Amino acid sequence: MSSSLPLVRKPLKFGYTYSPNDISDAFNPAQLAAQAKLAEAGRFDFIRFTERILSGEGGEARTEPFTTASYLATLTRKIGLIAQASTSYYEPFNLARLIASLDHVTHGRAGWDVATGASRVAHANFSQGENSAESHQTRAVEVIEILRQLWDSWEEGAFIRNKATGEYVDGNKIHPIHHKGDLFRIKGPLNVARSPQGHAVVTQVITDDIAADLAVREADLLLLTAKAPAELRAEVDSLRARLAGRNALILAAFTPAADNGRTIADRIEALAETAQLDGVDLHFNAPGALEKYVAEVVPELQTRGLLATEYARDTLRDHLGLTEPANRYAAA
Amino acid sequence: MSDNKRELHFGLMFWANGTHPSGWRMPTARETAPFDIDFLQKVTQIAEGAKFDFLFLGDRLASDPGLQTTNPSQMSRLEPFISASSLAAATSHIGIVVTANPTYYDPYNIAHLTASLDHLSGGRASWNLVTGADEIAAANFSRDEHWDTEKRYDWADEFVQVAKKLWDSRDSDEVRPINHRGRYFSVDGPLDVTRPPQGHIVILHAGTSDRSRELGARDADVIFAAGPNIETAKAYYDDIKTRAKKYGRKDSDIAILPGLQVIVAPTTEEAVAIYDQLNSFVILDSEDTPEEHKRYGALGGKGKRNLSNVSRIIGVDVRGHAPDDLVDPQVLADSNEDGQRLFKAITRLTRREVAGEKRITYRDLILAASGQIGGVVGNPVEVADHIQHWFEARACDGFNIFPAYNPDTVTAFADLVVPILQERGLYRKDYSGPTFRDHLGLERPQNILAAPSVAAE
Repeated sequence: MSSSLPLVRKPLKFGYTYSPNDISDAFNPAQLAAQAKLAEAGRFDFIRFTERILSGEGGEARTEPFTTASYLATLTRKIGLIAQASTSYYEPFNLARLIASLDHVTHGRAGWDVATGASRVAHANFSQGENSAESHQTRAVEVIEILRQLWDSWEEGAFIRNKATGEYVDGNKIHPIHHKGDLFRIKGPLNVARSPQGHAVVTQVITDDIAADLAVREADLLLLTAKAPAELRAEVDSLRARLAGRNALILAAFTPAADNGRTIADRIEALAETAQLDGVDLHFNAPGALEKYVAEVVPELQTRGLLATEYARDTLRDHLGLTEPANRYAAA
Repeated sequence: MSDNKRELHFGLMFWANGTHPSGWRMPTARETAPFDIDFLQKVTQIAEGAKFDFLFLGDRLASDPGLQTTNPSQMSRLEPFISASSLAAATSHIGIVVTANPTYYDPYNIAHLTASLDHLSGGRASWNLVTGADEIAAANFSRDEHWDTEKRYDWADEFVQVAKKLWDSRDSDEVRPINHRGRYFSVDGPLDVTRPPQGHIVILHAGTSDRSRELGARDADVIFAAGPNIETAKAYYDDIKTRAKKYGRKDSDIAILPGLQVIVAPTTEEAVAIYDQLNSFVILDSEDTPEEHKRYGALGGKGKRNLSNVSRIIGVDVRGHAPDDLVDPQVLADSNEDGQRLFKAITRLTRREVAGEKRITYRDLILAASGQIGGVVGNPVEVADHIQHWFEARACDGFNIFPAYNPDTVTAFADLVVPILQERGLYRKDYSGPTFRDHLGLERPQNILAAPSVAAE
């Protein structure tokens, strides 16, 4: 690698965005499980499961992200499990429960990939008229705020569970949120205890300026679509400036070509250096491709110190170097 | 399942902290159970070892610290779809019932989640369709008011038809948009999940209103019934099976399962001792204000645990006694009919009476008056006899077993009662197939979008 380029922060973070094309039968749970275990053996920081109601026509049918991630929670131990869900097609109270519960059953490995949903095809499945991208964005902002409040509504230590006295909870540590916004009125509290990570890791794919606005405000993990390295660099610089020091990671999509392990590792390293990325989000789109990558590329990356050899700790926040957000109710 | 060889069906009502309000306080109970997925998996595996038809994951769309002495299991717990999928990965046969309330969901979401769960579990998914009697849930869903029964059922009726069409919309290579245009929903489809292994997810329903009975008779495969006594249960059973006929359904197409809390031990005395220990942990209420009464009542409390409540119900003023005082026989003599029934229930569960060696206490009365009068307490043969009696009287097709505390009551039922029922030929010794429909003896339904009768509608 050219020594004139700025050095990347080693090790890099590695994500895997699952596609139903990665296995021969996307509705075969044994294949899904094998794929997740393979990704864990390849020391990916996370797998991200997307839903397709948002992208409309095209692509392959697949299992729903929350059920898939929680199914795999039982069959994996370390890898982060990120479920995509749209703020436009769920009630915030339901979404808050699903995400917090996923964080519980994964013991702190959950992430939520925020989709804001602007596809006509998706509206037609949800008895909604067509809305502008801006209105979806407005809804997303309010939904995320509600979710964060609900995730805080049970403080650490709200449970007493004293068998001798019969005290089960401390009511002073359980908080209604009394949210009254433009679109939603939610009393709370949530009916799920505060989850291991406090708030699940929030990710967003930067598809346009509107998504970037939201991600800069809210996301822990910003996922960029594949572009030429120089273009990515400009995007990364702009996003980092807007993040203004907030601790968030920026990864870009990368699909390995049919090269040998060293060549692919070279490309990943060059991409990360040129674009100053925190890591890459791998896409495969063919059965057997992840297996080949884990066998040939992963050892090469590890030899170069670009990929950690083991999971040092347990939660997705641990893997990504993110701290647990403070509970807004606890400090007071 | 043929009609002349009926077989018992069992579900496990999974309240992780137990169905008894003080279950979590028992020495061996896992008090952290509601968020301990490894423990939940272990208990599910015990039920699967006992060849249970299903595990039942309830839900409630609101929380209140006031529930801690009445229903701690319902106050805070994992979201059911998440639990279900995690449990599916740790089991291979047991059906998994997820409660989801259409009042606060879109049909596409429910169809999406349930169909996916059915694939991941290999055909073991089930949806308990509830319409939500909790008024306070409305405040968590931007609603000004709780919908009345008619509106909730009009909505649910259309909702379930949309869900069924979505399940059928991607069958093998045949993809059919559903283009549903109804009173409440406008859904194009297709679903982004292929037709579930079971075709249609097994549907559970519960309720006693006319609308609920009708929905159950038309759409439910399993009905979770309230069965305070065998006469009421028989009447309910007959009514549902009669209503089902007009939808072209056979008796064996619907399994009706009342809830049953079972406290079983090798001897009657040991079982009663467990029941008494559970009850000894119940925190009694002080005599309190009507406002407090209303607040607790809104989330499932059936009545305050105090002697004013007892006095009101039995028609005799017994205030002022200590809970452990023995009840004077004259109280029974002076009690109204409701009071007589309470005393009978206490004797049935504890074997104590107002006279003789083992005497009823005011604590017994307080708990009975607060609604704790159901279930069965006894040795394995007594429990098996109770189950067989209800089953053969056609008061039910089995039971949704309520575990008073976990995991001991589940283990005890599996080890002590199940073998007797198997020996008597009333209950399966092994699963006949891998899907929940297999356990219920139900066929995989035809695709309604492919059927000409529906296409013509």
